[in-house]
Amino acid sequence: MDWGALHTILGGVNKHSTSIGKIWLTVLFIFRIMILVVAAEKVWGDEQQDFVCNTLQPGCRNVCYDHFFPISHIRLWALQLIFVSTPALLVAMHVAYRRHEKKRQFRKGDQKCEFKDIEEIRKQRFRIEGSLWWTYTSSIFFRLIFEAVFMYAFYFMYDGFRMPRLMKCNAWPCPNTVDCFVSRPTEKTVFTIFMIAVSSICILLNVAELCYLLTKFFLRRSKKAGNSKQQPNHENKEETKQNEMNELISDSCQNTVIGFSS
Amino acid sequence: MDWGTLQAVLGGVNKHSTSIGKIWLTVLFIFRIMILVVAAEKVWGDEQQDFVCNTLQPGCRNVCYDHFFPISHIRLWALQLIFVSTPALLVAMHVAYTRHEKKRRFRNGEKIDIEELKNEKIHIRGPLWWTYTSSIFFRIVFEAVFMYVFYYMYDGYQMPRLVKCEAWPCPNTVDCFVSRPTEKTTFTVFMLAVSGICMMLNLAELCYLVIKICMKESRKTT
Repeated sequence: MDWGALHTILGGVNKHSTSIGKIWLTVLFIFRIMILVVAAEKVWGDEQQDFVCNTLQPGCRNVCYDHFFPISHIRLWALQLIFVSTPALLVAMHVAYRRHEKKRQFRKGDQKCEFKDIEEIRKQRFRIEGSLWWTYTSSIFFRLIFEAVFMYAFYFMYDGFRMPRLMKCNAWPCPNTVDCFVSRPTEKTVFTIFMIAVSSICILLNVAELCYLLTKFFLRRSKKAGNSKQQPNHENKEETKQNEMNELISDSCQNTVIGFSS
Repeated sequence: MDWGTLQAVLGGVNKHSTSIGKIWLTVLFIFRIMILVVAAEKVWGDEQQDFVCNTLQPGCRNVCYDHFFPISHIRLWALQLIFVSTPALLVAMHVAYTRHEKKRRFRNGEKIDIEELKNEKIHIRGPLWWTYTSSIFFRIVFEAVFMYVFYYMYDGYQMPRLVKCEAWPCPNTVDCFVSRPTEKTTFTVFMLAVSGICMMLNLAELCYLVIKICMKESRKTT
């Protein structure tokens, strides 16, 4: 179970996201998870080994390292990425539940069910409306909360986003005050700022998606209020056409673009 | 999530590229990403561990290393490769959007050829041409910016054997010796050369696209 597995899980969610959601997912995977794995983990790789203190006192280096770095940046980022990705699973669960319901209807031989076989149900892309809209919107809201909380945790724990070169340590058993030198502080500062910047971009994308969904919701309500008496069968026809479309093009679309497998 | 996944993501984009674009992608994966992963990372693997300074002063080595290598070459190359690969995703998103629009028009009852929808290759014209051309333009800009950053940060492309360090807490001036300087210089020059080749491929692709559109315009008017 590693980042690749998370990639597979979230790739499935991608199908039911809005366009902004898809962009957010791409930014998450390419500019955050990938940077973490191929670059940041190596920068922090020797953080304790090359944390040097100007003392011969045994144990002082360990204690000072632990005092200044209660949780390593890498672990905090890993936690942040997992927490931020997880709300999307709410959406996946809701979609799975709907599919299950439709399969149940199909098996019972319900006349209202317009699918020809189980495969169609599996391939169907659900529109973001009704209860799915609420699930989707809450997932975005939780994402925003988690991002903000972790950014604050970083700021609070490390007194800003800069990595100092030198730390003065008084913790026992260090004698008096000891100078301790951090490994690769400039590189760490650069990567910290990069990750914060991408985190902010993700927050902006989430806010934009939230606004988009709210706008869509209000527009739909005002349209419904206008059209409610006119065409009762219109929505059924739309859904049937959509299902035909999904059957025709689900294969070609899956292969098209970003390679997220379902 | 590693270079393999990036390859899977960009492989999908490959279908909609020109021939030069496909060559560029191959050069990127084989001569840059693969060289980075199988060779360069090991050359730079012990860069801090074997960075030796002629002093007993604790902390001096850390500080001098940080002073002379603010961002390691490997990380700069990793960032460069990620930034240079990303504009291709703009094209991918545009293609996905075009397909989505065709879907929508079909749903609304307009007559669209099913075969055209199923057909996976989309021609580079109209707004897609602009997206594709801007993606190449951004690639060129990112390549140039990173090449300049390398030059600026390391004062050229040669890795010196000895660096003289005066940063606190080092006493006076201290001689520090870099690990594997010749091998690092070789790989730096190699990566630079391949970077240059990629830039030229991108320029060639840009010229090809511009000429194609100009010829199409002149055919339309005649």
